[in-house]
Amino acid sequence: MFHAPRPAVRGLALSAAAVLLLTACGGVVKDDKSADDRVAEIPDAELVAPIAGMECAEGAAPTGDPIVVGGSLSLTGPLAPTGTLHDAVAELVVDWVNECGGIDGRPLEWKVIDDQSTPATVTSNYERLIGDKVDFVMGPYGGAATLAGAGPVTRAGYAYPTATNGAPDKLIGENHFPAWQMGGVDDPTHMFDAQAQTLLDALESSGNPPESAFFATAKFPTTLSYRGSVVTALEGAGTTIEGDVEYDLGTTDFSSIAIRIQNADPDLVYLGGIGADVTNLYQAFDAIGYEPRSIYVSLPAPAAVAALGDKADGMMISSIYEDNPPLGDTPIARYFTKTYSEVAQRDDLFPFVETQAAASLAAWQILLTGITEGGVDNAAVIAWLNANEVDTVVGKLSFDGFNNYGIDINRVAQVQDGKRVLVWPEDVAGAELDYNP
Amino acid sequence: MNALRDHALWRQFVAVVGCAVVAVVVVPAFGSDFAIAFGFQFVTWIVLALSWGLFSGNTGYASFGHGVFFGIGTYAAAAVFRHSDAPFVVVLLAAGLAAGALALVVGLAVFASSRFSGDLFGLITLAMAFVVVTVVSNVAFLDGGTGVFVREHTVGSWAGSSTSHLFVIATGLAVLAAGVAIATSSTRWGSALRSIRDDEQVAESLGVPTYRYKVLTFVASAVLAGLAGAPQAIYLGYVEVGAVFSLNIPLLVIMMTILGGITRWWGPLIGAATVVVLREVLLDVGSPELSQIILGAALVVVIALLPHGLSGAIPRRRGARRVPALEGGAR
Repeated sequence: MFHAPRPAVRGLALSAAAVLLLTACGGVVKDDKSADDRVAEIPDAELVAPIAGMECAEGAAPTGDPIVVGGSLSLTGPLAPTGTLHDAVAELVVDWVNECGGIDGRPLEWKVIDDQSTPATVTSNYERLIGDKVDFVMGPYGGAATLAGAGPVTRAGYAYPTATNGAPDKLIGENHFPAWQMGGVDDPTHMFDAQAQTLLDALESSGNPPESAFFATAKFPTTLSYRGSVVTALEGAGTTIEGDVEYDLGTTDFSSIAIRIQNADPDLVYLGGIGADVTNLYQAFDAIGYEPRSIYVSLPAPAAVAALGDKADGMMISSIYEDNPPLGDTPIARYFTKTYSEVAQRDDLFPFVETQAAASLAAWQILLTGITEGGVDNAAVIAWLNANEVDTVVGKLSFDGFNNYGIDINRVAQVQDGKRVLVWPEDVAGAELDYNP
Repeated sequence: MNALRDHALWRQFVAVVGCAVVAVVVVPAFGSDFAIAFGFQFVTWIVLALSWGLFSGNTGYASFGHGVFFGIGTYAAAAVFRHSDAPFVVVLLAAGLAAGALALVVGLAVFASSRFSGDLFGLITLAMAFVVVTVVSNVAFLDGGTGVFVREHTVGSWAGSSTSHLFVIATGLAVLAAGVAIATSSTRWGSALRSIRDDEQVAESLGVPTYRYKVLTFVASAVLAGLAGAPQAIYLGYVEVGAVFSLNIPLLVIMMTILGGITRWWGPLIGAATVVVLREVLLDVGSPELSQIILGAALVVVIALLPHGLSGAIPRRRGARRVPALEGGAR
């Protein structure tokens, strides 16, 4: 006979199981109250083909063997709120293509496997998809996951379109086709310089560039790299850096950072934050009764910005797409905006198209264009994409720089009258930057 | 008894080596990269579960820091790759030593006082994780917050050229972990550890040097987890703090061990195998949330119905050698 394990040990195991169950729930984005009204205001849009040069044969049901695109996404775990967004776009695009008669008459099929927000699982998921002989793959969400999947995908000779790879300076190869293009350089140590210059140009375009700035940045690969380039750019333009602090990912108490910012009272607060950091910083500002002169946020969750209400007015945000002309005023963009809002509302996601959803669609447009031009053959698709430009919802993309990044498409958006709008560069701006710190 | 002359132990170890050899030959023969990648993860979890059971299972000191030792091994390997051209065996040793050194420092300090037993030990190991994450995030030599791209340093190396090579390495580590687990199953070392779990004060009064045993076993457990971190760094290709030090890792390891049971040395092995296979199978359920919930609920049910875990539910062979002092121990 054996002694039973200590009750504490069993309790430990039960607690561990409970925590894992809770993490499975991931998280959902809560809509602000006016979101339903704004969604209802989105006009109906006519069905068109999702890519330029493709005919939309509405009503012609596709037949034959499906063209299967496999992907690994974080559908559970801490990255699930964004991972599920990319899954929603994938399903939307597949339905869209099939409503248009498929690709050369063949139906498109999406096969997704949950990676549970774990990069190690991403690797085996792509091995599994390739073993299952999917025709193509779509990249996962996030820099670590993208690089974890790159190994098996590249070895197997598959094209690797990615939506939001946050580690652009880590070389994947000629099969990498990023939708969120940053860089426009051959030197990987300067991948974020163009994005920083865009921000500087935007600020200078106002005629009132900041004389002082305070940086608060999350310890996260993308935010740290971007912050480094922005500091250099602003210092070069004569801005005084009043403070520069880094905080751990997951920080929720911004009290000490808020007090430092209040003491410095800079013209510009640069928050290199992700997710809900901006919400937590504003809570800390409220607690001390401080209102920043101006603020720029690098990678905020769109719902977090929306939840700030009037306080967000004037906030500048890094972005590659907002729903405003000229990018948002094409037949493809209008149809996507309408259908995405419906799908997102159904799935409890932020119902408006911004960087993540637009990048996700652009990644699909890259792949679909490659298939349409090169056929169901990864080598041909890779060769075609490397030699040509692709029209996407975020602009025309090419794959001819370091790590297949072409021109930098990072832009500056601003919240104006409760709505996000691109304000820089001028060729994609839907409004002028309102900046006077 | 001299463990080296214990034929039963040697038979078990030879069986483990035999299974490992078969796995190394058979898995690649499937001709599927997925089978190899899955096999690599499978044996890595086995190393982690066996090494957690080695200390926490045997002594009853529940550690939430096992993922830290695994992560330290991963980051130590990444640092050596990044800053040197050292061969993989050096990388492997660095990973194990880094984890062992951390465990030695923590163990020497924590086990010096009886105040830090029980729940407080668990909290300390949890706090250790936050300290280590902060250090790694701020020290540029290790990471500095931007992540480390390992793949660019391992391309062309034997270990980095194929997942099957990583599978061979991880299987070797699993054999090592199993060997250590077997060694604790019916040796004086194991008896001492289990006497700590049963009643540490009584063990102390009977002359068991509990402090020394706890420190050394904690270090051995950490070294094994750290060693497993080296091939993991190559497998991931890019390491960043959030992924490497995820709290899910120690939680899964604890669940695997409790599920498999701590009354037999191979309990954690069975637990790890069950969870890994179940997770993979449930990926096909169609609903990722549902598959996670099914996994968690299944584990809760098994733990509630089988207090000794899966291994404890299997009856021992009639006539198997029983040592009264070892009742309830990992054998």
